[in-house]
Formats: sequence, C-alpha cells, structure tokens
Amino acid sequence: MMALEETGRTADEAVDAGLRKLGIAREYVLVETLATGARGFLGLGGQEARVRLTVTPGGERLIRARAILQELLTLMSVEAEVRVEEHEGGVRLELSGKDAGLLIGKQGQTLDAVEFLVGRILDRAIRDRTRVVLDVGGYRERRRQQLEQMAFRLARQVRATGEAIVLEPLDASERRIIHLALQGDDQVTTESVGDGRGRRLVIRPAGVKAFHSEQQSI
Amino acid sequence: MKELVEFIAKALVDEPDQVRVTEVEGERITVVELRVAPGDLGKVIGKQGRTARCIRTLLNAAATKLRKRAVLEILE
Repeated sequence: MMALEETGRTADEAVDAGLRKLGIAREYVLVETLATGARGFLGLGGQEARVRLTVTPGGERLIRARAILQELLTLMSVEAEVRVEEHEGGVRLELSGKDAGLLIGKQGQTLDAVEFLVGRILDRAIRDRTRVVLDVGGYRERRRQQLEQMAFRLARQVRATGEAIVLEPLDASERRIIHLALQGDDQVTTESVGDGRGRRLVIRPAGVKAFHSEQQSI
Repeated sequence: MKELVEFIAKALVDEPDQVRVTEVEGERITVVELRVAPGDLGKVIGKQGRTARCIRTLLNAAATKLRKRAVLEILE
C-alpha cells in the first residue's frame, strides 16, 4: 500500500503538505499522527509534527491513473496539468494548460486514443476494470450536446418522413448518448446494428418492424 | 517517439523485457518498429486492432509536435 510521511508545524499542516504531494483529497488517505508537535519557546526547543498518510485503494487508483497520463504526456512532449477525481465509480481526468487543446485531435480522435490507453494500462496496473474518462476544457460535454442536438434533429426527420435513418459509425459512448437522448421519444426507436467499428445506430419510426424499415433505408 | 511506444508496450504486455523498439529514420518519415513476445502480440494489437490504432494515433500526435511523420510497424 502507498504511504508517505510528512512533517509540518502542526499535524494539520503536515497532512495538507502530504495531500498536496499526492495530489488527492483528504478522503483518500488514513492519517496517523506520529508526533503532535510542540511549540518551542522563542523558536527554541520546538518539535515538528509528523504524520503518516496511507493511501486507500480508491486513492491509489486515482494516483496511478494520473501518473500514467502524465507519463504519456511527457513522452508526447505535451505540457499540460492533470486533475483527477472519482466519477460514477470510475476515474475522471481533466487536462488543462497550454498544449491541452492539441490533445483533442481530429474529432476527438487523439483524446479517445489517450483515454483508451490510460484505461488499458491502469487495468493492468491495478488488476481491475475501471472506466476512465479524459476531458480537455469541457470538450466531452460540448460533444455530448452536439450529439443530442443531432439526435433530436434526425428524430424530427424520421417522424416527418416515416423513414428510418442510419447514422455514420460512432463509438459506443457516442451511441449511448443518442440512445439516451431519444429514449423518451415514443414516436421513434433506436437500435445499433452491425459489428465492431462499422456498428451504426439506426433511428426508426416507432411501431415499424425492423425488417420492413431496413428495406426502406436501403 | 521510441520511448512513447516502448512505455505503452511495456505497460500492456506480460513480458515487458521482451519488448524491443527501434527507430529507423528516413528522410521524410520515421518508422518505429515494435517487437514483443509472440504471446503478447494480441495485447499490443487489441480487439479488432483497437490498441494498435490508438498507439498509432498517439505516435502521430507526438510526431506532429516535432514536425515529423512517423509510422508504427508491429513485427511478428
């Protein structure tokens, strides 16, 4: 287990210094006070406080995820700061700084690739499956809104024409956004068809049998 | 660029000390060759080549930053 000893004027200051070094919040460490520290007289005879911080498994996962990302960034000569937090049971990494924008790439391609590899490497390091989300300056959120707008627009079109629409191939997380956006629309149904990279989302008028509308869309 | 591919490959395979990466620099293009233990080939390629594709994307981004072009060859 990861642990660290730190000193300070008071135990609280020592804990804060340790957390800054680790880059995680207080909830991810167990604190043991090894020496409470004593104020000296006229700066003489004082004793520093000494604490030991033991990182919890959840905290270790955050520290490792950030370390993996930082290593990749360094090797890519990308200068950026990394913030890490827990998010929906997984790990969310947020990049900022001068080069952060470069990391998005064409249609988020580079961002997706870094996210995937950090996830893979982390899984192997901690021998557990973790959902990793990597974001730069709210890019993921903007992309989600774009996809939702597109979903609503296409659903209107399907309702108007009564014909199914087959979307361009999207990755699983993007298809999920569209399925969720349209699940409350009882006039259309959504479905993913095909395999692997060629898997596409289809928006159909509700009540039309899949086979029938498949023929229509061809 | 070599170090980038080496770091990723070593972190993904079961036998990291079998990972070999060489950089062959041409006039316009740098070829980064990756060799891993035969049993680890699937780990650096991934399902439907996804892992290999992601490594290539990172390599391209790193190369672009250096105003170079690079390709990754995974050798069997």
